[in-house]
Amino acid sequence: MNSKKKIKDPEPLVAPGKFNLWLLMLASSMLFASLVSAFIVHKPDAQAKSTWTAFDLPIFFLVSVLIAVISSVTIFVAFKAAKNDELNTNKTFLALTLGLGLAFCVTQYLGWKQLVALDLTLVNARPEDISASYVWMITGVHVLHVLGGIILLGLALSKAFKLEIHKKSMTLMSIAHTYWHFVGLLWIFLYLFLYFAQ
Amino acid sequence: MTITLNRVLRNSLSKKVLTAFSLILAPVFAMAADVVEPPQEFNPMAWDWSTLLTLALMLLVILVIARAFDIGSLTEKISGKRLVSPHKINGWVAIIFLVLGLIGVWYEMVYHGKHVLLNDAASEHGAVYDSMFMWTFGFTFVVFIITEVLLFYFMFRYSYDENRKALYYFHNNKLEVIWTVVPAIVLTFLVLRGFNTWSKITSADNEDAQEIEVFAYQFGWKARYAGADNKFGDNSFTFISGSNPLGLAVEGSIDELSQSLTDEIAALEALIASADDSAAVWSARLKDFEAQGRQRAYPEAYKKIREMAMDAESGAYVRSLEKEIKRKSTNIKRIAKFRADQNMFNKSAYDDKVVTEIVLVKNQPYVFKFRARDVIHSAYMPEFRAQMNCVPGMSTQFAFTPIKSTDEARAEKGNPEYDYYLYCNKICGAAHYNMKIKITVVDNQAQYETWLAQQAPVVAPVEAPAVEADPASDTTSQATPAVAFN
Amino acid sequence: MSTAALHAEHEAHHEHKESFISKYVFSMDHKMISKQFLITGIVMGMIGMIMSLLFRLQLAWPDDQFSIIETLLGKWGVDGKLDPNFYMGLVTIHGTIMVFYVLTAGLSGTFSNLLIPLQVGARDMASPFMNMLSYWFFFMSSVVLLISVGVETGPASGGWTVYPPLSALDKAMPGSGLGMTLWLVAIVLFIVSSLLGGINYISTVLNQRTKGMSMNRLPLTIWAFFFTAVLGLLSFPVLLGAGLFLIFDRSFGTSFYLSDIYLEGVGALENIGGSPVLYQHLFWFLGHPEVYIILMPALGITSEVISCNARKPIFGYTAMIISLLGISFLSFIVWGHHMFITGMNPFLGSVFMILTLIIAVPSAVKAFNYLTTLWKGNLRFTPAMLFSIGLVSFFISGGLTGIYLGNAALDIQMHDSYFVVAHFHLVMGSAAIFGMFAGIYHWFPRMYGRMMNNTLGYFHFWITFICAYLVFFPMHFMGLAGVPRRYYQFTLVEQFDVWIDVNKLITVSAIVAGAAQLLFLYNFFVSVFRGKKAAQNPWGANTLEWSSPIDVRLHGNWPGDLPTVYRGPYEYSRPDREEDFFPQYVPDESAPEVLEPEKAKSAPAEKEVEEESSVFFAAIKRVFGLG
Repeated sequence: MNSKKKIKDPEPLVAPGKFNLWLLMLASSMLFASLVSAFIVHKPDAQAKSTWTAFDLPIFFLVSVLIAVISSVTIFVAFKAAKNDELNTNKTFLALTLGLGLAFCVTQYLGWKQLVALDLTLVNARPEDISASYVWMITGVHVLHVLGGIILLGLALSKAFKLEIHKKSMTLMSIAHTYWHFVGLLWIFLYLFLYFAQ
Repeated sequence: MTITLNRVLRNSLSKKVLTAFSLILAPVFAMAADVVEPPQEFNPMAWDWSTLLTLALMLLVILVIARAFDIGSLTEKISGKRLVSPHKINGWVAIIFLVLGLIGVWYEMVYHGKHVLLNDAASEHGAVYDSMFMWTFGFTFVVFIITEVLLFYFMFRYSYDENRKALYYFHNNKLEVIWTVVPAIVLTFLVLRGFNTWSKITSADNEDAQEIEVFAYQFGWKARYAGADNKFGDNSFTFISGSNPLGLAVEGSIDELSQSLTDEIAALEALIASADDSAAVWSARLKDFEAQGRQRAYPEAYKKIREMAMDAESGAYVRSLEKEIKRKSTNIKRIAKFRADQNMFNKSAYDDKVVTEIVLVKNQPYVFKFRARDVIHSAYMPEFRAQMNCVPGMSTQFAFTPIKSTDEARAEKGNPEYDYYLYCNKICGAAHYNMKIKITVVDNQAQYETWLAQQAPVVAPVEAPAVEADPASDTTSQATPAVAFN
Repeated sequence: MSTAALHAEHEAHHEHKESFISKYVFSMDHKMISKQFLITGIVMGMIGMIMSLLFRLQLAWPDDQFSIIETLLGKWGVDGKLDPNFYMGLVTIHGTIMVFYVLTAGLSGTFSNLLIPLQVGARDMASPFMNMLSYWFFFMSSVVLLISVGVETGPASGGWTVYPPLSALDKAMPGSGLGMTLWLVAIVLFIVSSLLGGINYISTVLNQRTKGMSMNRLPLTIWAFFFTAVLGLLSFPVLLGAGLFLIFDRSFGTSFYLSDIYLEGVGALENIGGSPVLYQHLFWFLGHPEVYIILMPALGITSEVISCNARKPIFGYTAMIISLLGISFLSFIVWGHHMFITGMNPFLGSVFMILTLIIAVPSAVKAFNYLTTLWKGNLRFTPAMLFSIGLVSFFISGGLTGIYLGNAALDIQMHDSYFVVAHFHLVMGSAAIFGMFAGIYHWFPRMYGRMMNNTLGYFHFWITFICAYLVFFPMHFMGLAGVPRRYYQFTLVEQFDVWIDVNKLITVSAIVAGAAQLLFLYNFFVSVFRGKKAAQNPWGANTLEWSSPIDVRLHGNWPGDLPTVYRGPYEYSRPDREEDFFPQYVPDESAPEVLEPEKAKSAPAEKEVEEESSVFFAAIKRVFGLG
């Protein structure tokens, strides 16, 4: 039956992959919402028992914010370049973003080291560490999201090198682009939240 | 058009299965009949024949209906005419179900309704509660009856007829608005009343209420009365020990606990020091065991020895000891920190009375303060319409005034053994079902005081008052007061 | 996978024979995945049911010995006496299996997968690969959960809500050791499965509808599955968060939920500052929407089945959708009614009470609409129809008791009593399982191309229906008499003696109901292979799934072009037509209907599609049926 005539299904308005990505981002926003609201609910409770102490966030977390901002710019440039078929610029900026993503992880690691140096480890008998436990949980879950983003960027980069990203083939690029903005914004939000809510 | 219903039943299939089904059910019924009246020996006269007979009848009915269906469909197949419509039959069954169901509801209400704790509350707010219940019951029961009757009546009335066409009826805004607004109004009423009831119960006037602390642990309850000074002594979970189950601020018992923890740490450290030796011992034992080929004969012992040897080898054993030491030393540190706090050790705990039965006075308001030691429990006092969770690390409370003494309740129930209990109502472990404490409501203050006087205080009062008057000798003479708990 | 790729695959199917593995195991065809969900769900359901029968035996005859218990449970049933620890384990795993594995995955997984692409007119899910992953995560999760039942220290035993500290401390009860760890692993896998599935369902409904299938022509099943998926997408991540904290407390020694604990035989623990109530907040933020995740697909199925078998349009299509929307929205802000007696602020309690009771309004609208749909219908009692009506009956009787429990004041006495057990088993357990049966009987021809036996279906229905009422109705009275749930036996207080007979009645009814499920199993599995061949549209239904050939397995659903939709799904017994149904996909020759405006179809330029903002707005437009 198919040989008789070519079936032409109407194209969905939005690429399914991208639609799914938006939904996935919604779901992970809910995960962070749960962590953050646990923080908010727990804080007054723990303060009443004097088991909650505010502390300064490691300076490296601020550096992470900076990196998040810069890498958002670079991925945007890479995205625009791909759309205009400037494949070399695309490749360069994708690579740059990937590098910045790794740098982001390094700064997170250094931030954690700073916390450890202050004796604010994930698990400790010291009661004031409940606030620290939250910082560890939230940053930890976020870094997992960043790692996911780095994998996406890596995939996009390898595709770019195979010349499979261009004006007509943007799905992966735009997924990586959207997701990277998402984790970047998420980090900025989380940093501000942790900074002010403590 | 004809709707291709699955009219022609596979005759043999359903018959076979129904026979098999009855074969499976028969032992179930038999067992049920059997266990209701367990016969000591084979004595058919003692069997619950009426039950058996009823069940047998039920089976018979099932089979007859099945046969009717099968024969019917077979005849239909042969004659090409419809003899028995499954739609009509199901409609009839629905009506029978409705009638029997309504009788069942009525029977339940009469027969089991009398055991239900309604209009029977033993506390002051219970009357408010019960009236709230009756209002809700009134509304929901009317809706329940109307809707269920309509549902089954429609099943009967509108069962399929090939010559009829259903009403093409999409929506009716007026109707829909009606049954949005009417429930909304009824619910508004219930919400307002509920709101009122809830505030009344939760904001009970605590001015002259007596406080009682109820303490939950796996698996039991203890209650604490404040004693002569009418003040509860301070407490902390770090103070809990075998002799001080509530963790009260009693110096002697706490110092004892500190000391025994220190001793335990020393013992653990000794174990760590000899860990290398013990590793050697265990691995030697394991080798012996294996050399003698006893693994087969004593699998359990072998498993244990191998586990110990492996733990010793990998350092898991030492790590677990170190963890224990850390935990215990944290406990010591916390005790020491509290110990410096003079306010905490003001001896108000000494005359507190820890008891295993709650005694209340009729018409006296009470505030129950709940505390839990290990996991979440829930203090459930159904006769008093009271319940509150007991959460470790968190203080909760519930206030009520008992208005019916145990004796009155006994007279009312016609049961001289009747007692109020406080049950655990939050899953808390294997013996959850067995976690209760008796509540006795006495008629007057005198009875209560007699009872209280019989209860021993936490620390037996020091005999010579002169000693207390002299602060210089206080520390020396105090020594370690004996801690007496029931 | 893009539609184009699907096509390539779809065409390839005609030339290459699929291997067994790609056809039956790692299949990406939504119809096969739905069967996988169904069979796994049925198996889990049988296990969950047998567990309930075992503990029912204990409750009815606490002093007797049952050799079957020893045979099945070994060391947990020495001398035919059920161990109290294992009783708790059975209660917990029964709840977990029924709530998550049968009524979430088994019900919503099966029918969302089967019906969403077929009823919206799509070749497959938005991402068939994710769909396959969703099933296999669910499968792994089921396996892990079943393994946890067999571990030496027993399965998780803190109730299906696994409140810490009980579930966080392996010294508090044996089941909180390895069993609880495996439970958490199983649930994390389940959440992943559920999210992968839910994303696909939403995306397919919004983005892959065929020509003419505007949102207001969607069958109510699809609306229900859609809202269910949205609820799952928003609430399961929160359970993941709660679970993460619990995992950290258990395995790494943090103090999120733990504070001031002294354990017998251990001593005072180090943890301080944690809040056990925090877990309950997080859990019930999922837990309450979860109730509707279970119930709404069943309601959707019922709407479809009742309308089709009453040969009558569903009454108040729009009202049904609005009430689903209202229920979905409200379900997120009422979780506190599970916590009235945790010592929460009384004011907060009042707020939750008001919000909770509001839910009764959309629920009432649904119940009345079902009744009106039956009124003056032409009711064809197929087993599916009977199960749907049974659902309505349970929905009413169980829903009404929700008005008691949602009332903070009344909840004081009823919380965690048998009244609660009766309430949720009727409104969410029995109702949802009846929805599932209705779905199975109704769409069996669509799944397997054969019919199930009706007579067996009738017996299955009536026995199950009567027994379900016999099991759960008396429980209301037990609850009102202050009998707490999750008790191993009731022999320790004289007050409970009056319920001995009731417990026996309940257990016998439960066993009979259990036996009736054997009829179903037999009917199901025999009909799969030997049932009568089904006609293309055996029920005379209107929806699109009956236009796709049911006798051949076709990945891509329709051999030619996708069908075009001309009208809503409930055009039954139209006075202007001779037949009593008028399928969505059949054009009306006499008066050709105007298709929806073509403006959205005037292919948007590719550049626009790539713009994130426009993608977002496009999505919004699709949601509201504007595109």
